Amino acid sequence: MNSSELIEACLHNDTTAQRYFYENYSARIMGICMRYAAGGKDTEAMAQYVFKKLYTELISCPKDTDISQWVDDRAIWNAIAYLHEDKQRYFIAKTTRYMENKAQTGEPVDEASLNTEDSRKIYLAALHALTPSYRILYNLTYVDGITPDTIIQNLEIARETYKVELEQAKFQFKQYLNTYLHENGLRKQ
Amino acid sequence: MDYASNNCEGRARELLAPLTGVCPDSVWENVSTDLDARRREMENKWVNKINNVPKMPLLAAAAIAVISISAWMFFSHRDNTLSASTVSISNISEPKKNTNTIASQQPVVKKDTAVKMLNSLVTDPPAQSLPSQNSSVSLTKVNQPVKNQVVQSNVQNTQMQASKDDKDDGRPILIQHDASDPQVITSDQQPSKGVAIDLGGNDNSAPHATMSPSSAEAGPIQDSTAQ
Repeated sequence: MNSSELIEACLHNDTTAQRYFYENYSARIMGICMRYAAGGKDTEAMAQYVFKKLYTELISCPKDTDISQWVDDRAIWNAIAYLHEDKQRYFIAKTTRYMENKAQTGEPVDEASLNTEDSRKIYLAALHALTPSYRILYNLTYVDGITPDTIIQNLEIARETYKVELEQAKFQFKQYLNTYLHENGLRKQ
Repeated sequence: MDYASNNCEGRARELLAPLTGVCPDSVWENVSTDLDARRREMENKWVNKINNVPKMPLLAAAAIAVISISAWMFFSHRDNTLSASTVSISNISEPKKNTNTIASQQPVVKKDTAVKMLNSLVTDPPAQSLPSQNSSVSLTKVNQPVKNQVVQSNVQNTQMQASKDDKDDGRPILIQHDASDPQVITSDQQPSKGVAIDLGGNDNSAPHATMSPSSAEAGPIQDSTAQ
């Protein structure tokens, strides 16, 4: 079953095709939701929201393009939509906690000494520590590689706002990363 | 102290971009439940639409449709009946083609032609009448004799009018009937009273013997041939 047939079957509420679509793209969508969500149960809730939206938006999927790219793109923007719907958490005061006064104890840990899986966990933990707005901008700009113009257009924010918030997100991510690497180094020791 | 590398953004992209995860079964259960609900909603969509549509507009629309269709069928049937009757009448009244084909095809022209032909039959000799199969040609040729007839009839009317005027004056009236010379001789040229009727048709009889005033006054008319 090619992508066009899969989309047609899903649009006709074929349960088998919908299950096939879920099994094909659930891992990728789950990875996107793990980056954009705050972790834990929030990731599952976001994944459900994204899948429901994707089944609805399949009618607008272009038939002659790569469906994987389309699924990734729509999953990212639907994950952001999920965060925007949770107004209570999204509008957390963007006060940065630099933890600059936190005492740095123990020996410094070289990042290169960590394996890829440990590094991924540390980076993902640092990403989860960001506020939702910073997490969105950091993911879109540095992880997903979406152009600033597209981000500004889709998020409907000013260019200056984008720049300022991206700098703050970048700074905060690095601080969290230092903290987690230090804690990981302490555990290793 | 900075533990992270300076290119932590590139490293983050390298590590997090290909990130995948395992969806728990609870995700698919919730998604499938939502899809089933949506499927049932789609199946019941038309039933709900039909049930929720108000009945009065539907009934009114149906009544209007039935009335309009009935009216259309009635008028269309009546038109067909009328056209059929017209065709039958025309078939009955159609004259033979060997008499006057164009006239039968154009009944309006035929009426005028009949009147003119009547006039032409009065004035023209029978030898001048053209074959009736070419009625258009006969019409154009008949017009000239009709004009002549009108002129002659006007002359006769003038004579009759003049004779009527003479009666009013109490003068004698001379009525000259000459087909070759339609000249009117009024009573002014003949001051004598009395009536002289010239029934001759020759030109040499113009100087008629008329009664002198004295003879008229003297008494009855005397026959000059007797002398």
